[in-house]
Amino acid sequence: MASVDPLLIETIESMLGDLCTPEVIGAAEGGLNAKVWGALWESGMATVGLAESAGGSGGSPQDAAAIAKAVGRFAAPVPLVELSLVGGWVCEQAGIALPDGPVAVVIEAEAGPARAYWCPTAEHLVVVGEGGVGLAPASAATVARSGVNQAGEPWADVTVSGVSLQPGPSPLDVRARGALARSLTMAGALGQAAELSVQYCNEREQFGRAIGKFQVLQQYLAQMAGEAAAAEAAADNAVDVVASGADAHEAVRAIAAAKTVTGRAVGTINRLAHQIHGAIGYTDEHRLQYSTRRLWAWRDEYGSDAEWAAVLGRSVVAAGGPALWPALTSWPPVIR
Amino acid sequence: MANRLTFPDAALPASTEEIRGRIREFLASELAAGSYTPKVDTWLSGHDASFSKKLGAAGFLGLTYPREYGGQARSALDRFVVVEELLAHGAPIAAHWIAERQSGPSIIKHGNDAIKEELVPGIVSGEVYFSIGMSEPDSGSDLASIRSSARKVDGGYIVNGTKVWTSQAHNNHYFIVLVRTTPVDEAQGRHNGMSQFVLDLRSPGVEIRPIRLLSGHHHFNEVVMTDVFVPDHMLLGVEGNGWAQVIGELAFERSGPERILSTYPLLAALVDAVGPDPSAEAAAELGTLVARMSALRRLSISVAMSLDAGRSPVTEAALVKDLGTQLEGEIPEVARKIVPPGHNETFDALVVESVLSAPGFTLRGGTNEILRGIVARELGVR
Ligand SMILES: Cc1cc2nc3c(=O)[nH]c(=O)nc-3n(C[C@H](O)[C@H](O)[C@H](O)COP(=O)(O)OP(=O)(O)OC[C@H]3O[C@@H](n4cnc5c(N)ncnc54)[C@H](O)[C@@H]3O)c2cc1C
Repeated sequence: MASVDPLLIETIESMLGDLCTPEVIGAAEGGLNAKVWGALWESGMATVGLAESAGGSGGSPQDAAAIAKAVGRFAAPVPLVELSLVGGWVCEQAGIALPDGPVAVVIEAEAGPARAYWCPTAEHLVVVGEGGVGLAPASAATVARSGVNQAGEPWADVTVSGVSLQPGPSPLDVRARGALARSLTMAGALGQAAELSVQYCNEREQFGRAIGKFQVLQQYLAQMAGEAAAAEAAADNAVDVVASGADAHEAVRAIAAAKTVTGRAVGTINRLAHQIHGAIGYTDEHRLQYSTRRLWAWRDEYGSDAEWAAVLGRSVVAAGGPALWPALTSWPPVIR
Repeated sequence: MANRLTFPDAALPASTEEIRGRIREFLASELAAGSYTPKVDTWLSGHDASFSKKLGAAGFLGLTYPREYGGQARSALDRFVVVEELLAHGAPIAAHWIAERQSGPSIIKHGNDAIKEELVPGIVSGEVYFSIGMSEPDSGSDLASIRSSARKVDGGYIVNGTKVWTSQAHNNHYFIVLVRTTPVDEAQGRHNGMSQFVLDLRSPGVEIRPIRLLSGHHHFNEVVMTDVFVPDHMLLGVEGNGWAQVIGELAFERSGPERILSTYPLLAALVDAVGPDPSAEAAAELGTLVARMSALRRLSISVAMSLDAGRSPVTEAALVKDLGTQLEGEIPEVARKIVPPGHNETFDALVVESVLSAPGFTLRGGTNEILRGIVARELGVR
C-alpha cells in the first residue's frame, strides 16, 4: 500500500483552508468558484492520481484520495473529484487525452435523460454508455431539467448526442467510481463536522462552563469521532483495494462497503453535530451547514447507502457464508 | 490536545500469510474431525482444555513471547492473525484466552525469573489457565476504589477480600489479583498503594462461588479470599505499582479483534440463512453489517500495528472497542429481523446464544460509557 506523503496533505489542506472561507463557499452556490478551481488546476492537484502519460499529474490512487478527502473537509466549491476520480479515470482507462477544464460525467440511462452532477459548470462531458465511452463538449448536451442538490451544487438531467464511443469502463464501474469519490469527500466532511463540534464544545458556555464539560456531550463527541473514523477506514479500504489492482468485481464490492459506511455515518454525525451546535448551527450564518448539507446531498449521489448495501449484500449471499471471511481478510490487501 | 483522532495506514504485512494459512488448515482439520462446533462468544464461554492443548502443541500460543520461555518472539501481527481466525471460526478458546492474552505478557514484563520459569511455559503449551481478579462488589468502573488487601508477613503476604464477576475462575488455575498493600488514607493519592499478585485459585482460604448468568450458564464467580497466603515471589512487579501495571494489562485487554468478532460465526451463518435471493431490504441489512465489519477490522489492524510499532494507542483502542462491541450486539438483532425464528435449529441457536451474550459485550473490559470518556479526554473536552 502506498502511503501518502504528509507534505501533499499539508499542501492541499493549507491551500483549501486559505481559499475556502465560508463567504467563498456560500457565494459559490449554484455554480463553482473559479479561483479555487484555477488554483487546483494550475498546481496540478486536480489531476493527481491520473497518469502523466494520459496528461495527469501522476501519483497514487491514495494521493488522489487524500486530495478528495481535503476537498470534502474544506467544502471546496468545485467539481474536482468529477475529474480526478471519475471522468479523468474514464479517459485514462479508454486512452482519451484528459480534457483541460471542469468535466461532468454522463452515465447514460436506459431510456431518457441521465443525471449529471455539476453538468451546468462543465466544459466537457465524459459520456459513458453500454456501447462505450467518449468525450464531448458541453454544448453537445440537451438539458431536460436542471437544479441544485441540498448543498447548492448544480446538476442537470441530460441526453448527449453525436458522441463517438470507444471501448472503456462499464456504466456500473463508472457509477462505482462516482460512489468512491463521494465516499472520500464524505469521509473528509464527516471528520470536519466532528471537529467543528469539538471546537464548539470548548467555546460555548452555559451554566457557567464550557458545554463540553457536560458528560452527555462528551459521549456524543466520542460517538462522532468513532463514526468518522469508521467512515474514513471504509473509504480507505476501497482505495487500497482499487490500488491493488483487484478485479472490477472486487473493487465494486469494496466501494459498495465504503459508500454504505460513509452514507450511514451521515445520519448520526449530522444529527449530533446539529444537536451540539444548538440554534446557531441551524442558521445559514454558521459554517457547520457547509459540511452537513454536503453530507446530506452526497450520501444520495451515485447511489445511496441503501442501494450500495444491497449490492454488497447480494454479492455476499451469492458467494456464500464460507467465502465471507476470506473476502473480509483481503480488505485491506496485505502489503507485498 | 488533539481534536482529531487519526488511524495510521493499516495493512497486514505479507509475512502474516504463512501463519494464516497454517491456522486455517488446523481449524479445517479440527472441524472435519468433529473436535469443535462453531459457536459465538467462544473466547469467554468456550472453555475446552483439550482444544487449548492442541493449539499449544501446534505452536499457536505465546507467539509473541520470548524464546527462553517457549515463545517464538514473533510479531504481534502474527498473533492478531491467529486470533482473528480462531474467533471467526468460532473455535473454543476460553481456557487459555486470558492467560495467553494478558497474564503471560504481564508476567513476562513485570515478573521475576522464578515466576516466569514456573508459569510461562505452561501458558505457551495451553495447560495453565488464568482469570482476571479486578472487579469487586463495590468496585466496577471505579476500579481504584477496591478494598481487597494484602499485608506483609514472613516469606509472603496474607490476602483478604472478595472479587466478583470472575470469569471461569472455577475452571482456571490462577488469577492476577489487584489489591491494596497500603490503605487509601495512608497512600499519597488513591491510585497509589495497590499491588498485583499471582494467586493460585487452589490455595487454602480461596472459596469460589458460582454466580449464574441470566442464561443459566455458570461463567461468573465470586472469589472470596480469607487469609490466603501468597509467597513473596508471586508479587507481580513492584509493590505499590499495581495501578500502572493494571492499566498496561487493560491495553492488551481492549485492543484485540475479539472486540469486533464475538458474533462473527452468526454473521457467516446468516449469509447462508438469508439464501440466494434476498429482498432488497434483507440484502441491504446484511450488506450494512459486512461493510461495517470491514471498516472496523481495518481500524483494529491499525491499532494492532501501532502497538506492534511500540506506540500506546490507548484512546484508539477504546474507540474501536466502543464501535466493535456495538456491532457485535447488532448482528443478532439484524439476524432475527431478516431471518425469522424457526429457520433451522443450528442457526436459531446461534441467534439465541448471541442475544443472551450481548449484554456482556458493552460491559466487559470497561463499559462503553467509560471508553467514550477516554476518547472525549483525548479530544480535549474533559
Ligand atoms: C461478561 C463479563 C465478564 C467479566 N469478567 C470479569 C473478570 O473476569 N474479572 C473481573 O475482574 N471483572 C470482570 N467483569 C466485570 C467488568 O469489568 C465490569 O462489569 C465493568 O468494569 C463495569 O463494572 P460494573 O459492572 O460494576 O458496572 P458499574 O461500574 O457499576 O456501571 C454501571 C453503569 O454505570 C455507568 N457508569 C459508571 N461510571 C460511570 C462514569 N464515570 N460515567 C458514565 N457512566 C458511568 C456504566 O457505564 C454502566 O452503564 C466482567 C463483566 C462481564 C459483563
